[in-house]
Amino acid sequence: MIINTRHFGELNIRSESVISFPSGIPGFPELKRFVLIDIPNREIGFLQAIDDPGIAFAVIDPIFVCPDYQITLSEEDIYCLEKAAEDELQYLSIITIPSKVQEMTANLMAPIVINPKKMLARQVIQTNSKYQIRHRIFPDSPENDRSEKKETALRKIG
Amino acid sequence: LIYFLIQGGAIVLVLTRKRNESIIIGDDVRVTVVDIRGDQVKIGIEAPRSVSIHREEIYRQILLENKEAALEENVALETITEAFKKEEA
Repeated sequence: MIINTRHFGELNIRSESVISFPSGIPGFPELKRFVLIDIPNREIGFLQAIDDPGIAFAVIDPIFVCPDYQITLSEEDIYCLEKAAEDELQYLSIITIPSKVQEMTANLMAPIVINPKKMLARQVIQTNSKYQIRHRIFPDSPENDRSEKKETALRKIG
Repeated sequence: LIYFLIQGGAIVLVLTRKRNESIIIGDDVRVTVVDIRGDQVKIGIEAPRSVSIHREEIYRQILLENKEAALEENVALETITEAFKKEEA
């Protein structure tokens, strides 16, 4: 299947790569099909809506941001993901990118949870979460200050 | 006592319930007033597992964050992926 995307151009995707979000995600309830675009050798990927070329999210495995990341799924989550006991789930945090790219944050409070066996996914909103909705991916450090300037320069060229 | 209220442009059905009384929504959702103390109300909700139930303020926060996170039209993807390359080095 060939889909059009604003950020990645025309993509040829196999039907097995389509991830179903039966309830959409909050803010985009009408978008029920996404595809995950991997970036070679990078921790991040992109979640592209199949039915809206303009909607895509940068995503990251929360383990990269918070090595001991762990959440508890509700009975409802397990039911909606049709998770069998042996199914391994995949977790992704949506990244918010402010104008200073280096200050990007990951949403650890409400991860996207995918059951790759069934290609079913949902955004899990935890009621009592110890995690932040905006968790800094690159905490402040003198080195980051320098790379931030480089970042700005890059953007001007791009 | 049943009446309608207009709130934020939406018509809201308002009805009065006592402790342990319920409201049925559709065929399979039951909302029960479990306890009332001062200005706090404890509410019990029975619903099918496919129905998501959230505290509104948390749900709205997630919704707004998702809208904020959707990539902007003119974002340069390289600047995002480059940020991760540096971290590895």
